[in-house]
Amino acid sequence: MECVVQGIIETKHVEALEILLLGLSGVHKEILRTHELCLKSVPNLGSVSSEVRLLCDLEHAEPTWTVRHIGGAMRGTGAEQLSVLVTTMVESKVSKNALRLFYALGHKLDHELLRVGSSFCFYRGAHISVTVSSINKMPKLHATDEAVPVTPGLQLVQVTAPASSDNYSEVASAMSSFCEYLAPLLHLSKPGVHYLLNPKYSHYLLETMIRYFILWDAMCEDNI
Amino acid sequence: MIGVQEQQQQQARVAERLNPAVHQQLNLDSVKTRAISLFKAISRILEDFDAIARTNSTPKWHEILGQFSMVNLELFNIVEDIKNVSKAFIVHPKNVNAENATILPIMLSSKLLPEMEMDDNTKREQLLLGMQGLPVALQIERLKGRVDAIAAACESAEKIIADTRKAYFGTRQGPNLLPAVDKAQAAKIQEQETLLRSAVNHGEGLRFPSDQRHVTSALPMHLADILNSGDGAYSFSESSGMYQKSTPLSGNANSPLLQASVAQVTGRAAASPSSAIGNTSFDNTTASSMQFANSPKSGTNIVNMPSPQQQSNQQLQRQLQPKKLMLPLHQQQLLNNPQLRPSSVHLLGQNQLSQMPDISTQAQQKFQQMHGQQHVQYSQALVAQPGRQLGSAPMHMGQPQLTQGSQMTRPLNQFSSAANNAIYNAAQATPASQMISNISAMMPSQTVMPRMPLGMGGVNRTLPSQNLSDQIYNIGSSNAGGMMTQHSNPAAAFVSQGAQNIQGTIQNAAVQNHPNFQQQRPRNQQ
Repeated sequence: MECVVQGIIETKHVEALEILLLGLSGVHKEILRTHELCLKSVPNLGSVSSEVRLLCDLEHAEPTWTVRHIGGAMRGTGAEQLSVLVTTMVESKVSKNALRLFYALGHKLDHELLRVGSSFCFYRGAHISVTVSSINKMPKLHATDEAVPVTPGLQLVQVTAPASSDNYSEVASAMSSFCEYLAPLLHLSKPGVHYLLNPKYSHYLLETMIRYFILWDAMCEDNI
Repeated sequence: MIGVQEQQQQQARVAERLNPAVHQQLNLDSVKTRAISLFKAISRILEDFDAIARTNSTPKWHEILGQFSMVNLELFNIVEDIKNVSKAFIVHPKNVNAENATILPIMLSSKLLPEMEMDDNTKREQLLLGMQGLPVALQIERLKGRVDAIAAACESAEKIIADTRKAYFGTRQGPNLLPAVDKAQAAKIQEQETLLRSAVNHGEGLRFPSDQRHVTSALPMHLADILNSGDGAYSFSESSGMYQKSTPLSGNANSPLLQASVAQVTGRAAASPSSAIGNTSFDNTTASSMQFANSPKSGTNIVNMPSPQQQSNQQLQRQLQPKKLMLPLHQQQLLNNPQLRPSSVHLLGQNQLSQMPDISTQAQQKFQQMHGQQHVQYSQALVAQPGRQLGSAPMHMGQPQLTQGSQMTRPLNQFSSAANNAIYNAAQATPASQMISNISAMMPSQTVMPRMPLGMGGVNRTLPSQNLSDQIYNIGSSNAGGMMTQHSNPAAAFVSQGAQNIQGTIQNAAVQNHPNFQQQRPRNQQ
């Protein structure tokens, strides 16, 4: 299972957000460049059609593949009270033959996208990972070099943490408390629900935070 | 070690009268009292434990933990008090005996534990990065400067946060100093946001209609070795949800092989015009050969066609068209032969002669559709129906080129022994050579299907023509009321097996050639 929230941030604020995350998490960002292929099974396979995502990590010299299946989300009054979305999720590393396997099983390519950005993985009550990325679509099939952003001015921020059925409430609370730190810059919510960007005092606070963290960053790195 | 101890003892004796200030600070009396009370509490707890151990009763952990925490706190307080003045005193071991000897060196050493030492070193390095070459005074100055800068930054940040908070909460509508985001912009942003979210979560806006989907000439690196560029390797979800043909591993290499096998199959078809159950068996043969071609024993990796029985013909048609398989045109047409196969298959298991009239009309219609090209198949269709082979079969066998009229005029003789005899005679009259050629034409199919099911009850797989003829005749004669096609094609015999009590090896041989119908085998061997 995993807990997930999503938010939107304008591209001009992405750098500030990255600095903020650096300060909050204490880890340096990892560059993210993933080619996501979403495969759907045909109606004749199984009683309902299911969706499987194949992620190819293009950042490193040797592309690595991961398969991920996201199941249904938790429902009910308890789930509604949580500020995060809890879904069943199964993920595994696979070899590059996974694509052929799924095609042979009868899955079809539903859509694909390219995720380019950065990610931060750290522990703060739970194993939280934050990705800030721009979602790109490919005009031609599999043309990852020609990808263009779906929304040039906006990037997607996704905060996820793995959970199990007995600890998901703690993970959810850890995630929400972390997300409060990001409140000035963006509003994170469950993937199905979304709010307007919060423009209120974000600029002001943002400048402060930038100043603070740049200073801190500088002092850590250079020799005064 | 001993020398140090002596020295220390002397010093202690000299300074026996403690410094009054230290004395006051230490407040020895109270410390002593507290130490004694602590000692008493601990001994009480130990006695309790002894009693519990002796009586073997379960201890009340809650109380014990409470007592322990009290004792712990008391000890902590005492130690804190003593720490303040501990610098003035040196503790040295007075009595070294067997118990102390091993621990003493560790306790007395001032060296840190190895891990602590490493930590210490790394932190020191980090702190003094680049400064180690400078004199100590300069280092101290720089460190001080750093500390000051950080303090200043923290202060200014706090100030600004406090100001902003005041402003924010002061004016409930939001601070006026901030630029107002006008509604149009907000709406635009909202729209973009929905777009992005739906794209990520549901894939909206990322799907292309099938006609726009074509592979770029150059696949990216990570996909190039997985997918073939030339092969239409992609399967896109379409509304029909048709089956996906798996792609051959190397498209080019396979196509000549595919062509070869196809040619073989079509050649077979040509050689035996009255062979098989017309289109149905032909297709079955093709399909089965395809199926087996995919098995590991076969050298080629031919496209795997799904089991023809379960598939609708439309799917077949559509599969063939967009894919770049090198099927020759006429085979496509054969496969396109729409309703014959299911219907004939459907009839296989049926024992009802009453259906014949319906079938006849069907056949008529079909024949009209496919006139001129596929009359052979129609003949087979007619043949396939149980009980119908009587009239038309011998005719077809003799003359692959039929006219419409003859087909229509031979409709559907019901079963009758008279007809049976007629067939029997016709079979005898039929040139055995043709029958044999048909059979031999069927032979090659066996080579393509290495996985031919064996163990068909001692079936003689090699069918010498003579044997076959004999068997045909035998069957023809032994079936009194039963219909038997002495159609040379063993497959036809197989077709009728569902309907009648057919004995002999012919249908076994036929079944061999049509592994699709394996399930009918038990019925055969009655």
